[in-house]
Amino acid sequence: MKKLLLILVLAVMCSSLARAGDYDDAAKAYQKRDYVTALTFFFPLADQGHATAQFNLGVMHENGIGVIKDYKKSVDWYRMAAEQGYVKAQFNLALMYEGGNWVKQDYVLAHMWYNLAASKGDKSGTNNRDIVASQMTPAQIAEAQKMAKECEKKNYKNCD
Amino acid sequence: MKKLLIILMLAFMCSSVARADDSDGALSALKLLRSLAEKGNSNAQNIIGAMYFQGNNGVPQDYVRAYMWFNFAARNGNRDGGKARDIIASKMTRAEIDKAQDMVRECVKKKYKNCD
Repeated sequence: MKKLLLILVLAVMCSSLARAGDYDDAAKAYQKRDYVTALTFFFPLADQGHATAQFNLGVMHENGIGVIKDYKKSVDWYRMAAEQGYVKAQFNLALMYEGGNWVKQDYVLAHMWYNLAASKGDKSGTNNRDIVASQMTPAQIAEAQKMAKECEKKNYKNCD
Repeated sequence: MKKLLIILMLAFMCSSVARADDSDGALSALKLLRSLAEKGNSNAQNIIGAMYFQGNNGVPQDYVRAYMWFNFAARNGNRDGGKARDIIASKMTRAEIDKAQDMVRECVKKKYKNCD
């Protein structure tokens, strides 16, 4: 839970760095806790494939910020951003698979997404990958590494 | 284990040519290393092996590929490479090791070119 909070804080911080335009307005509204305005910007952006907006919607649905908590939607948004190579979404999706709270628990998929985040230099991804690996068999790790390689080749699309 | 650590440190130093969190930079470093490794440079082969073993610097962790590159270094007489390969082997399944060894043979046939 602490990690999720940290990511939430990161998302807010990060959003202030994002590019100008609609996303900027959304981020500003988000920081002011004007979630209705933030959401009216985030939804169309996310539908157009804006990865950060998708990730933020994932965070909002996971934590019930401005919307009713909906873990399924949260996982869907994270996945959309993760499939675009958005590292923080890959990490959060891995957390979902590791915890198995809102998707079927799957260490192999958790390892795969952590590993992909790690490959982009994400330290938490590296750390969590190694922790989850310590609870996996060599065969599971082998499978997860193979899937990560294939997923990278497919440009992160349809990996799980 | 000490040797592996040294190799890992080397890999880190090398990747700090690019910034550690700059995976694109790390990827171009990998390209450069690859051209050296293809010429049979065992230090470059070790570093690529370490990059795959760590998997936090442009490529996901991949024991099979790490094994392959350390094995090349070992074949070129690099003892660190041999040690690192054996340590990684202890974390791998039999099937994975077989696959890595097949890849080694394929790659040697191709003279280290386009081995991935």
